[in-house]
Amino acid sequence: MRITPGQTALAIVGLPAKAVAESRERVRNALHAVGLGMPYRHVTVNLAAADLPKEGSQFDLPIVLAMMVAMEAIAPDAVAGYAAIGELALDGSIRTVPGALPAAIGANAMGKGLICPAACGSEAAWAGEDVDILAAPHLLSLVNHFKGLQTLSRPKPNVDRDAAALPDLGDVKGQESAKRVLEVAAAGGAQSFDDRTAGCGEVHARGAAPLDPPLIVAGRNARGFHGAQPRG
Amino acid sequence: MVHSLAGELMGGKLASERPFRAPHHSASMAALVGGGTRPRPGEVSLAHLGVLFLDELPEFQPGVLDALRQPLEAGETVIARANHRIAYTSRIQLVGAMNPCKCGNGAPGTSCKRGPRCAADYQARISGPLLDRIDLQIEVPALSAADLVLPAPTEGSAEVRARVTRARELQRERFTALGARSMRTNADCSGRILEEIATPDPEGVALLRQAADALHLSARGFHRTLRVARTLADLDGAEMVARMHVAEALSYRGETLRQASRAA
Repeated sequence: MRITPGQTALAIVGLPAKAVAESRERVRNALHAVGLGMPYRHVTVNLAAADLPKEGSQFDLPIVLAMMVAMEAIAPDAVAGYAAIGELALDGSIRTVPGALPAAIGANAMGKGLICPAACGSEAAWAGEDVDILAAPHLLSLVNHFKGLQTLSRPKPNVDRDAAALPDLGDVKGQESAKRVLEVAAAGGAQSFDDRTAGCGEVHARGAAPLDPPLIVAGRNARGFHGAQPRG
Repeated sequence: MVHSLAGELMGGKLASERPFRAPHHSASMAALVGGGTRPRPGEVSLAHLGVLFLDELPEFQPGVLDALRQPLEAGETVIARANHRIAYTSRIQLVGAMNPCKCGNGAPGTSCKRGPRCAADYQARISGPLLDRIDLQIEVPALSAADLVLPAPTEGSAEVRARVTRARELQRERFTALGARSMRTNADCSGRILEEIATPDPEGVALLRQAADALHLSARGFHRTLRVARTLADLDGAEMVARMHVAEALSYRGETLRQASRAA
């Protein structure tokens, strides 16, 4: 991010897709919402690496933060230890984006904390106890946090406990062979089965899901921590 | 993690239940295995560690179904495009359901106007290699009125779940004892360790050899039968895989089913 003399404009380079290019308008409006105007100079935002296509709305927040640093609205060392993702609304509030958990893990691997939307905070918090996470609902609360006027507390990892009621095998009459196969499939793990039937498939299959042991017992045994981390 | 990438987590909460995904049979290749110009995980990855249920299996496009072969075998889906190369984890349990024949009349006791050709054509829409990866295949007869007037079964999911959990505990302890910590269930077990833990008693071996010849079991089919037999023994709490377990495992092989229907 550089602010240079020249024609008043905000240019984003680094192969931005449509949603990234449109962040120009969101950034401008969000700045206005927190009482800052765009500088009357030429602003260039470079998304490195320049040859890698960028997609999605999550670049709004890092762009606006870089801009505020360049405008000396916040101190450079306040944000130096953080990576940021988030989409900006025109009124400066920070909207949710996908992928907060992998972003938090990635940021931690780089030795940084993560600034993310408030709605994604409890998701990102699963990355670990020691990961520094700032989950902000609004650009203003983030600025106030950096100025020490307000403190954003660390979000807590959260689990969705109110799952929908699942069908029960007790409701299935007869069909003993099908029930037996469901049990074997659940006990052996990822074995697959094919239920050749005339008009009685679905109930059985839905019965299969509650047979597996619950995913989360405690702590890190959550979905997403099993197996390899998806790349990309 | 996969759900995080797909933006499907509501309010930043992780799910505590295993996923259950049941896409409609019009699902495209990209919808099922993932992909698209902006790559996203498909149903098979969103069902990671849960159940992917494909109702009316033969109605799916054959190419789409065969795309499930890699995820079923490797537990991950590698999506390679000119601009991207992404591997999404997808260790799933595939559950399929189908009518035996397109007209829906193929159940025992009823007859189809087109005769056995109807059922044969319909079932041939699922490729052999895919069927080979399906461990447990059964024919479920239609419910009779006699079944419907029976009192409700006393055993519910909770009891079955307790047995399943016990069998899984046994497996985990066994793999830990063997030093194979990456394996959790018989399904994850590698071929070498499988032969170590699932070799049946002499009678079972004799039956297995005989069946492998008679049914022309592929190498994969052979190992998968062993795996199922090991699970059956775990459910019984048995140390050793017995002839009975091998016999039951063989009865779930599709080859047995198809030979019976050919004979009929």
